[in-house]
Amino acid sequence: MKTSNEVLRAVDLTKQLKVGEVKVDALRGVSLSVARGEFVAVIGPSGSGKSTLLGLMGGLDSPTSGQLFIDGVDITRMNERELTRIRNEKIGFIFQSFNLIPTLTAEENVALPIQFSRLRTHHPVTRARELLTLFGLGDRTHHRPSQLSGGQQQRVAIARALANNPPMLLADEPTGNLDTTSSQIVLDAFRKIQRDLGTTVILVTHDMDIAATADRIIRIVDGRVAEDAPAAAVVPPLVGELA
Amino acid sequence: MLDQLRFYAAHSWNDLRSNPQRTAFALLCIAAGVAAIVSLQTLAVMVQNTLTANLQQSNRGDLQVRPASGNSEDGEAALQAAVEAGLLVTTPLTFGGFGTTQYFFSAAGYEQIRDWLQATYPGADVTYRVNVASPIALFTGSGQGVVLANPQTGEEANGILPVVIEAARYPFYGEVLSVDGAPLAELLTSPDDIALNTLVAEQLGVGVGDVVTLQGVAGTFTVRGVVPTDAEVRNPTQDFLAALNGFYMLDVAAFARFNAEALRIDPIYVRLPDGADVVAVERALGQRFSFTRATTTEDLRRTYERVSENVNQLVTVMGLIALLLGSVGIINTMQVVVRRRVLEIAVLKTLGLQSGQITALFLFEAAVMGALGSAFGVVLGWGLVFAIRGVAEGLLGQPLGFVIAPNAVIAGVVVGTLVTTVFGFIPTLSAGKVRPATVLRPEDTLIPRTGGLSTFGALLVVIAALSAVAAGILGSALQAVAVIVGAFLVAGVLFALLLLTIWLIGRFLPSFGLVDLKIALREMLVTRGRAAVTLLALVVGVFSLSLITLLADTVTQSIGQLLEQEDNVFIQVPNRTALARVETELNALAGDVQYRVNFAYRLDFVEVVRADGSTLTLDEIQARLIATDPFLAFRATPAPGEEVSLDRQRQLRAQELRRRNEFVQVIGGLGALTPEQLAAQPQVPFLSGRQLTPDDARGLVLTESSLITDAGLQVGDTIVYRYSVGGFLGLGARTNELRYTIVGVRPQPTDFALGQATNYVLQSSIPEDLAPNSISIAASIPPDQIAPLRRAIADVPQTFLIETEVFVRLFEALLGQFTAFPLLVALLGLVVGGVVIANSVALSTLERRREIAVMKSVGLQRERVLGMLLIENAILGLVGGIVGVGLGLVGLIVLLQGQVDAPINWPTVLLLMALCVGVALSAALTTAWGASGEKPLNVLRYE
Repeated sequence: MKTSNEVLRAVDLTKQLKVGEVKVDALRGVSLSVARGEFVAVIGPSGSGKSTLLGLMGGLDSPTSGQLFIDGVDITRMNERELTRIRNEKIGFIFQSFNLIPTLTAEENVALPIQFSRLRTHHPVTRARELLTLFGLGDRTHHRPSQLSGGQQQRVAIARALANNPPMLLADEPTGNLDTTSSQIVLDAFRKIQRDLGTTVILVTHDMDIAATADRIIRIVDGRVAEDAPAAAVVPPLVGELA
Repeated sequence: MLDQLRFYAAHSWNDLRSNPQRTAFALLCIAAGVAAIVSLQTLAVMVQNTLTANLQQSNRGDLQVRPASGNSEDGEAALQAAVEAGLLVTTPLTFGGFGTTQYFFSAAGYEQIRDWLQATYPGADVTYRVNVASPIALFTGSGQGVVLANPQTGEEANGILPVVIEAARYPFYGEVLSVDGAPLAELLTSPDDIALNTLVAEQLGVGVGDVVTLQGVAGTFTVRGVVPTDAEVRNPTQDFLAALNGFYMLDVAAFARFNAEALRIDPIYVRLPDGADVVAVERALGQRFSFTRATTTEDLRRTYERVSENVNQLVTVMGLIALLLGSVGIINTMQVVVRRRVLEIAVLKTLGLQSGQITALFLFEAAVMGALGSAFGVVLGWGLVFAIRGVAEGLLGQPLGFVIAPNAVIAGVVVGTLVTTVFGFIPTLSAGKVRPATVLRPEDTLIPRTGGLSTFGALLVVIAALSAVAAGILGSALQAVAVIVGAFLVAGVLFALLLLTIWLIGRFLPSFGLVDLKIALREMLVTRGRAAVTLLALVVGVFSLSLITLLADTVTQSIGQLLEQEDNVFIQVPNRTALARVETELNALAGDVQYRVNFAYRLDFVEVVRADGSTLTLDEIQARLIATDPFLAFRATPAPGEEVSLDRQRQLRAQELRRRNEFVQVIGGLGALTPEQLAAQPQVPFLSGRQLTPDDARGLVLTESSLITDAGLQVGDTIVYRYSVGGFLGLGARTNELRYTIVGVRPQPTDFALGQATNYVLQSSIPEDLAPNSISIAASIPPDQIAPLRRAIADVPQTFLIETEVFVRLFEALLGQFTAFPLLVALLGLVVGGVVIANSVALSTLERRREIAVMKSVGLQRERVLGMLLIENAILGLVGGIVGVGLGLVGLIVLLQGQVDAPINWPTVLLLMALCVGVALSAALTTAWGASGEKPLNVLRYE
């Protein structure tokens, strides 16, 4: 099943969620493929299932049915222990609310995934300092999250996501809590990661301006892929629709 | 691995620092328990150090020689031979129908032992103490030499220990100095000189130069010195009454002033020359004088070490219980820590931390808390030692020097850290179960439940770990597992009971339209699980406190009822001659004097003849007693294939014989009633049959007891007795038979009846030739005539006067001494319970910050918010009080089993409940005050 250029492949994914007593079909047969080094934006209105899809792609949750391959390996058959290992080694996560560990410094936050990695290709502290310097935070290594601005916190989160040099980065509304300037810095960082490191970036957003910075846009509506096309082809007709 | 550990450490330390209030209360929970362990164990070491610091002083010599006990046939024969040789003198000691013989060295016996010791071990020195009062005289405060009086004021001191010694030589080790610094040899130079201990001098209001009188001794004594209590209280196993009531000291020259037939010496003190082998001397002495037994400093060391070991075990168990109570705080804290960090846990899992690593992270934090709390507890424990050592000093009668006991510190820190980590384990298990997808929906931060199987497994791990700790203390793995499993079962039942009570109150208590009460009840209902766990700690503390307080209170009240009885004096006399003398003195007293004489007889049981003519022998009764004793029946039946060891057979046989002997004792004791006494018997419903009538020439009334019931004795059965008449030393005696038919079985009497047998017949049915075994007089005399009567009969041998008031006072003092320590431990438990509640309220307000902020933002004042929290905690405190004190009452009833006919002291019960509510309210107020004052915007924006 593995092709040399494919980092992620979803085959007919479904996910049923239970909200109280009601069962909701969050995903209804999603199939897609993402190539190595691609920058993909997943868009859709609120409740469309994009975050659920991100959760499945990141091995945070299991699908009700279907298959999901990361680097050619079907992760839907994996147990929690194996999934955790995949998350640690193959995926970097970035969240809207940063989700840094409040009691740790920037350097400690970034070093954390390496400290718990089996592979340990880098020295945790050295790698953390390198990444923080790369994102312009070399002078903030010993600051706690509460001592950093939103933009700085998100850059620490990006550095943390890259700590184990994963082939794929998943970002859930990464600029949702940031001002325009900080958002631009973060997006530039994504682009730089994709270009310089060859890392696949999958970004979930409902902001078309941000989605437009990606190479490709996947539109999810009611748990299905409504559109999957290069950004240039998708952006003009959607501007009015999403607004 | 090292990196991960470093992360655990940094994370734990930072988390503890970032929540100072929560951390402080959690540490306090652990510290309180550890402080209990450290303080109690340190105290035990201090006691051991004091006891063993100078064994020669404690033993008052290298050897202390006493007449041997006649427990074996050989021993008895040796004593008899020594009596016949004039080396020992005897004094019969009877009380309440039971008698024994006391042996003392005679002057000749003392001299022979002294001469042999000095000839065999040149340089050995010997001195002695003269016995002038029996233990019964001392305990009852009657007879010669045990009551001192100040003739100026008439003030008396009862039950004072006489210490009659060779002042110039006593003691061999550790000089006795008066408070003014004068040695004993200078204080007691004439037969009229006396030295009092500080307690007695204060009680009598006398000082140096004043005169005092001694009951039963003519003339006065002049006080030459006042000595501190610890001058003579050196061995807590021997000197208990001296520490409690006080003592006086006389030179042996004063003995001539006592009305005594012969010198009675006990013990002899021996100082050996340097380098002598004390154990070899003891052995040689025992071989040369087989009627002696000696206590060496080595014996004393062994005894003290055994006592210390037991005390140490006991206090460690008590401390462990306090620590386990404090651990409830850890469970609560870790639950809240996990609950508040669900999102963080999800993030960590997203980053690649396995469930086990998450659990390890929180366990590490629990361990750090345990170590820090334990260190704090050690310091707190040392402080506590200073607060509680007075109790131990009171029990020992000696000052205790403070020491830092390394073992206590190590035990506190190790056990504290281990128990905290173990208790942190169950809440942290759920941390590992947090779904990583939670990170995408931060608002959905419900903590998952740990599966039943996981919880059960975790519980097994906790029980195993705690059992390991307990096994280290108790020295037996099986016992430790049994104790811990038992404790968990009890805790489980208590938890269920508390949960149910809280649910019932939260669900059904009307709020009477009060919004505050309604919110408080709802909140209580929602958090009932944690409330029940929290109350568990409080309930155990309150239960212990209630049980001890109520038990002491009820027993004191019951004894106090004696004071309300008409009879205020009981006199035990040995024979009819003494009775005649006492009656003469009673009749000579001024005022309204009333008394009655009770005779009790002891007969040998032969057999029972049933109503149908069949007989029941003692062997058959023994078989019945064994069959009805579940413990004996169980032990007597070996498991299939089990071989009963000889040792077990011997134990079993001894237990069977004990039951048999108890029956013979109970059935063989008979009281005899005159027609007047029969008429005065209380009108109580009989369990079977009826009361005696004046016509029952051979009738017998039995008193209910398990022995009578188990033996199967019934109304209509005839008991055959035997008694001996005449003869000397068993020779030439005649045996007569006596038969009584059971006419009724009455319930256990509730009145005080000294020397009166519980089964009775008519006096007229007692044969002329049967001598009473015990004669006692119950008298009602004017209070001011008691002292003159006591003085008047002080010289009647073997006659003891018990004044109910003095007896009650002594009893209360003893009770106070014995309950002081358990009371202290119970109070520690209550303090720990209070700390756990404070911790729980602190956690609860931390969790409810948002709710409190919302309430304040809709216009509720700080006082109102605080009021709601206080109402909630007052209700919880009340629940704790009702359950804790209620269980205490149940425990009291079970313990007393109707033996004491005193009402429950309801004011004390209410006071204990109020104390419980007070503890809960104070704890709540301390912690909720700050939270109720927080600015709502701060919370709503950042929480």
